[in-house]
Amino acid sequence: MRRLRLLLLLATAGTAGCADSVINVIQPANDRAVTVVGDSLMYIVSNLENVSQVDTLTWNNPAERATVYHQSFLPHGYTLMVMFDAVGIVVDSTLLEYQLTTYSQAGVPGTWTVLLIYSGAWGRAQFSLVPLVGDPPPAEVRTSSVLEMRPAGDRRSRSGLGALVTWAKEADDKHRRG
Amino acid sequence: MPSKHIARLATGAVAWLALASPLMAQGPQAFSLSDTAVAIGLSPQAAHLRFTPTPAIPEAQFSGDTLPCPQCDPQKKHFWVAVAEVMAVNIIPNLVSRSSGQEWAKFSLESWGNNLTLPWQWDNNAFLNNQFSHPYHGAMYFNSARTNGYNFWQSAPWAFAGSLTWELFGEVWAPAPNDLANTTLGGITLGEMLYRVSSLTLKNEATGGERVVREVAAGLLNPVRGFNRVVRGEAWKVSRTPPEWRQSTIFGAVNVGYRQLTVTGEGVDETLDGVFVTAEVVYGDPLLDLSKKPFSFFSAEVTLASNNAPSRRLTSLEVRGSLGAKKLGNGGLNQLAGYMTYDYIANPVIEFGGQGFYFGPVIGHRPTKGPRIRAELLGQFMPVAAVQSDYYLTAEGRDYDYGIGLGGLADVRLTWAGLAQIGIYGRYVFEPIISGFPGNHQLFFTGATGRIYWKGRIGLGADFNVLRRWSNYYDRAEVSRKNNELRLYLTTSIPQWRD
Repeated sequence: MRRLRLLLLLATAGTAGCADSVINVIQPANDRAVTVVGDSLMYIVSNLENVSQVDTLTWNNPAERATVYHQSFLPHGYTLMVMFDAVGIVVDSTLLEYQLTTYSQAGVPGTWTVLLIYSGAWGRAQFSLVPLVGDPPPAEVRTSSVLEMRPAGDRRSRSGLGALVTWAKEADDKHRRG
Repeated sequence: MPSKHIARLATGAVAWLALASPLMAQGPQAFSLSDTAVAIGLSPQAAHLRFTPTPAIPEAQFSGDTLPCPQCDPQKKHFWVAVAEVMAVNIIPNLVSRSSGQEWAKFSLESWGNNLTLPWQWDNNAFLNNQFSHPYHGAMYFNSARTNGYNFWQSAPWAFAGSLTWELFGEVWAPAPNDLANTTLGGITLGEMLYRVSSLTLKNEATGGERVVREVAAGLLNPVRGFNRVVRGEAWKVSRTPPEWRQSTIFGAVNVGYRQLTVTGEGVDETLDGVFVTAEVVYGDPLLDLSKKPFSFFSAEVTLASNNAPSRRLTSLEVRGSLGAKKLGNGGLNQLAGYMTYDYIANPVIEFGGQGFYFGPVIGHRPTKGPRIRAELLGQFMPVAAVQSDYYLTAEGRDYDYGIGLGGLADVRLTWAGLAQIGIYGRYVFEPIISGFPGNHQLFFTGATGRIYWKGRIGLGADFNVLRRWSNYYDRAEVSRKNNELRLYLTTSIPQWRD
């Protein structure tokens, strides 16, 4: 009987994971801050609780590439960053990460657009964008392709990440249409 | 000398100590190749030879039967000690991470509540982390029970419980189903293997420097056991080594040689030359011990290779242990057998990892003259398997898809006792993808292996393996890769192979 109770407890804990709560958007209490220092951009949003929305930034990048210093801490949910160069070509698509440095692909310098696509995100989104002249260090090239992970409309994309990428595709299409 | 070189040397010394000591622990017995042996066929490269200790020295003289044997009797279960050790296995890495300022380690009542109520997420750690580090962590949970009086089956739930508590309460990150599966199943397989290899290492009759070396080596192989032996005073108390710590047949080998990889596929045609070193252990008789307690027979093989990327120097680690068997027909060696498996393969084509089960007929024939034969045809089920992906790439380092692994293995081996062994095998895995880029992977491994020994100590071996991967993706071009692998090597058996 004691084992049965333990199993029931574990099963309850497991199924509780399927529960969900109210979907939020970024609010003043999240202290959203976008700071430009020189050519660099810093972004932070704190205390996210189940946030799902698209946040858009623009950034003047004088270089062809960007270094992304990830400092986010999002233990639940996902946030996808999609970066477009001055002519609207995608030069990066990566999940916001915890303590990681990534590099964009080469693009056209000028006003770059950054889409941040939140999907059930909890925690803190924080990163810095710094112009990168030349190529990134070879050993540390981390070109991600999260945007390529799931095609839009894929019915199998039931997970939060799948929905997020579908959303990213749609946002990309909308952006391209102007 | 740079510190990283010192670290590598130290790692090599520890690895050698860990490998050699359990095999030396078999004592000054004469070993003879008794048969077919061999063939557990788990891994493409293993030669799987079988050695039987010749009773040249009476067991009583060797093990000291006049000594008391407090560890021979069924051991008392230390439930609360095991609980405390599972907690310690969770808390120690948490505290280390917390002390270095890692946010994910700073759990709270709020994070526990979130982990209990919010959806689980497949995590995106690199292959080595998810497919090796987590299973090794699971081995510690398993041994928290195994070294506190619990048997194999009783210890298995502890690996699950330890992993679940870590996922829910040990870190702030969302619980990950892949971590739970890898830690639990991999922990059971690696845990029992390490428990038994550390048993081989230990010798309670030993004293002085030999005792220190054995206890340290066992502690490196199985830290939880090492800790318990120190706390209980077993590490220095002279007593009789329990007979169940010694298996009737043991084979170990180290192979060193040349390895050539040829990779072909769409837009890929590359040849890589390098060197490799493999250590392997075949524990128990691959036919006679299948129906005994779980892991009375197991094989384990680890390979390090130079012609892989630095993150893939650990090229393979494969373990297969018996779970039980039922005789087919009257007498004979034919059986229906079940196994538990752990796979970690990282090369430019395959990157394949997972834990699962084999089940199927194992056929053996051991004539008094001529080659001895062992053949098996096994089906495989892997609850979670990881296969290299061509489209799923994350900045965090995950470059593989997760899915269920379904497939099988056919393997035939022939052994001329004391002289040579040859074998052929084929293995197929189908993986519909659950997490990653939608689609499926198919893997096909096939190859041949052969070895010939001289004076039972030194031999020459050659393996040729073909690894194929077909990956079909939804809405993306399919990808196929083929990897031919040639290995030519010198092999040394531990202990000596005689007939």
